[in-house]
Amino acid sequence: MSDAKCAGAKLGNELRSGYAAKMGSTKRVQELNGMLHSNRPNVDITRARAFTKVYRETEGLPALLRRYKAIAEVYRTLSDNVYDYEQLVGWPTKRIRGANFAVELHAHWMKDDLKNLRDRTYDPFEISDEDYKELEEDILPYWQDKTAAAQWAHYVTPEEWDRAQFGGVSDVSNYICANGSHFIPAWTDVIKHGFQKYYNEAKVLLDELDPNDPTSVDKRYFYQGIIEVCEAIKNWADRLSAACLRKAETEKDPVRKKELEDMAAMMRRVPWGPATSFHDAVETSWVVCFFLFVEGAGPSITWGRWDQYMYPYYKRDIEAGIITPESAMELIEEMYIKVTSNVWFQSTQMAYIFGGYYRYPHLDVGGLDENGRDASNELSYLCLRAMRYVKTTSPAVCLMLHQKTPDSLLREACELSVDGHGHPSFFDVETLYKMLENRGACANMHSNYTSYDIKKYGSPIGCVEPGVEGMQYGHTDSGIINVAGCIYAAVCDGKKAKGVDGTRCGQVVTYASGAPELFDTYEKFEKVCLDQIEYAIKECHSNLIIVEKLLAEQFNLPTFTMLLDGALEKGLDATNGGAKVNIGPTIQMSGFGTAVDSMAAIKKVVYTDHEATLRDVANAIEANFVGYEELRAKLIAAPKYGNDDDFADDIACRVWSFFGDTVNHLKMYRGNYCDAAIQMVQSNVGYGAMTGATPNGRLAGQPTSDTMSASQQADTNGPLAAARSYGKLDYTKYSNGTLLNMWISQSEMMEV
Amino acid sequence: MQTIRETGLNTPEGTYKMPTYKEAGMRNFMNLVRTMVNDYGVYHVQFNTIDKSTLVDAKKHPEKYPTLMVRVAGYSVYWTDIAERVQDDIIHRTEHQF
Repeated sequence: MSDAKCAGAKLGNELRSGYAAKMGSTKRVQELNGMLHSNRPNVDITRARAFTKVYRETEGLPALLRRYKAIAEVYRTLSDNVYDYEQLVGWPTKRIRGANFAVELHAHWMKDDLKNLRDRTYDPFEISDEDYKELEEDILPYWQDKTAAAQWAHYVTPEEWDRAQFGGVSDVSNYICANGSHFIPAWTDVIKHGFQKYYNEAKVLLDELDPNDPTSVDKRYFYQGIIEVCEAIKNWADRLSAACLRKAETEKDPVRKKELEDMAAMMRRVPWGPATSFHDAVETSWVVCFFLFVEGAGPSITWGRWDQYMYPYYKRDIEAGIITPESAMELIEEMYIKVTSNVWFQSTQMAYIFGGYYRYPHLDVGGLDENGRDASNELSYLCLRAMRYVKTTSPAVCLMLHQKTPDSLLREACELSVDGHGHPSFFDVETLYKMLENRGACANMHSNYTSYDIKKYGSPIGCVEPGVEGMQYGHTDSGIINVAGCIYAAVCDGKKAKGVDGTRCGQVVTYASGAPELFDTYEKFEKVCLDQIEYAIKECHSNLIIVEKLLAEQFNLPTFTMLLDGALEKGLDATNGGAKVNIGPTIQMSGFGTAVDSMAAIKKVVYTDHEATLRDVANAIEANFVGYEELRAKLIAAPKYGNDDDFADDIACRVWSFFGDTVNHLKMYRGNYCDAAIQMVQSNVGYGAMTGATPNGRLAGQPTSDTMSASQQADTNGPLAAARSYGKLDYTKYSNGTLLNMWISQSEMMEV
Repeated sequence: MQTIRETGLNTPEGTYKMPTYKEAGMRNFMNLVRTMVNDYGVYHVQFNTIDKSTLVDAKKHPEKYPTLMVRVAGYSVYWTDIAERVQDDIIHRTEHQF
């Protein structure tokens, strides 16, 4: 098995290319799923080529207009493929499972990494020889000194630039390649009106500009750019309509021929104009989703409350006898397959941690309506059931759970969960509302959202980040603070361990906070831990505001902007404050359980039982516990977070609140205050590899605890005791969301 | 005139098979979710449910598990596609029983 040529994702892609993954409720869905898996992830240079062409032609034009023109060129050159069995039209790439990547954010790492793309073990990508050559010789040399990361280097010292990407304590490496992400566009509006609404609005606003008003100077080319992008979207839809007709002409099956003709007619209606049927509405929701995935570089284009805004179309067509629940589910399954084709493109270093090609699309069901009633409907059930039938990795299907949510819907969600694919996520609606009230405002300030906005349009984004449809813009998985690394630094005078991953090993990675002898009480020790965390947060913040300025000036997002309520009227791009509520970039905590358990272990062994000094602990972790086995055993035996034990949970609550409060008081580039989060998915493996041994007994290089979960194997008192520990934390301080993993054996709930 | 939807399935094994549930376990599971989320106010939770022994075997013999998926955190991926050290981390998490 250990043939290096066929392991990891290469093996997986190979195994699933035959019949294994041809799942779905109907023949059509199974064929589409088979088609998805028969394609290997591949690099598509359409977007990169369009950007290079336009940027070369537009030297000297305003930065925003160059950017809008480049996006328009992308729409004009997107593929017009139509395949057998499809009912939804349009693909983001020439080949299925392509990455139409953002060269202007990725070029700096690609110049060294391009040669690894085809054969790397995790997230390998195919690329044709011609495209490879064009990238290597023409496109990448043009962009490699123009990416956001390359420009950010001009604002900081080489040491700061290095530390924030490879130091492993205060990190922005994930954020700098992912502009345009984490977004719930104005679905209700775009499905109801289509892009023609934004086109017409921009025309009127351009006409009404007063040339003697100084603000009109920037707005003029803003509206001109929006108009050009809208025209390019219309052009794309017309091309796809023509492609459906061409395919219809050669189709021998009269039923399929009629379908293709209907699809051609559909593409003349949407996404340019209003959806007139459930099928139209699903088409708009697919097209807009992939438009945003192509325009933006990042993850998490989110469908939000799909079962809510789609329900009027569903109900009307069911009542009219146009569709059945089964045919609606077939469309939902096809949408899941298509969104899974959006693969995420990342460097070899990132793929090692975040591998799996997943790009974090997200769909919610359930929740309340604007009047506080249970909002679930037939589509809520169909969306959950479709995931059981089609078994794709994407989207993340989620249940917004409230006391009022019927048990039958919870049961449907739990049955999906028991199947073991990891879907769905469960969210507490009341906590979501409280987080959104704090979102985009500093603690103790009023929310910019009304209660109506939150109840009608609020939902999580991506993994877990609270958002509101069409009203919120900002990057949500941005700065990362490895608090386990901060605790190591607190014990070891600001240093990072020797011999671990990343740079600056054995050197000061935050600041020198003093020898362990200085901290003669637990209170003094806890304070230096929190000081180290604060230092790392502030360093991270200083980098985020630099990059955010670069993004606002040069990396604008016209399609995101159109899909934000009121942005056109303001004449401001999304990256420059067009949204009703600006958020982010946010700061996340990683390694929480490890940090808390480390502090609890020191409190117990050093300051309560006096069985060792802090210097002993420092020596022990610097030696990776070699020769300190007895001390390690005592540290491991100390109370741990996740067991409903207040000795550890009190510390958890203080670290939790300190981190949240510190982050919430930092002002960001677009004027909003920063939001805290604890959701940085699998980063615990990467940061663990960069972190020395920790005082909870964890060895150097091992993963730290994941997200907000208890440390691995530390929660030994059953799921309810763990749940009680988690219930002690103040979630409202983490308005960018919290993520919790739990594991319950399948054999408890079903016959295996 | 035959529609595509009426065409026979050529991969019948790709059709979902309803599992046999253990009702007591399902009740425990639903109660855990309700209690943790709605009563304790825990904002978000997600579950891995594949038994540990299966994951251990899948690490040794990935070729036997082409479509095995796990929840890494906030997202699901095919087991085969993630790095060994991520697999190890997932296997090393605490598996709870009721």
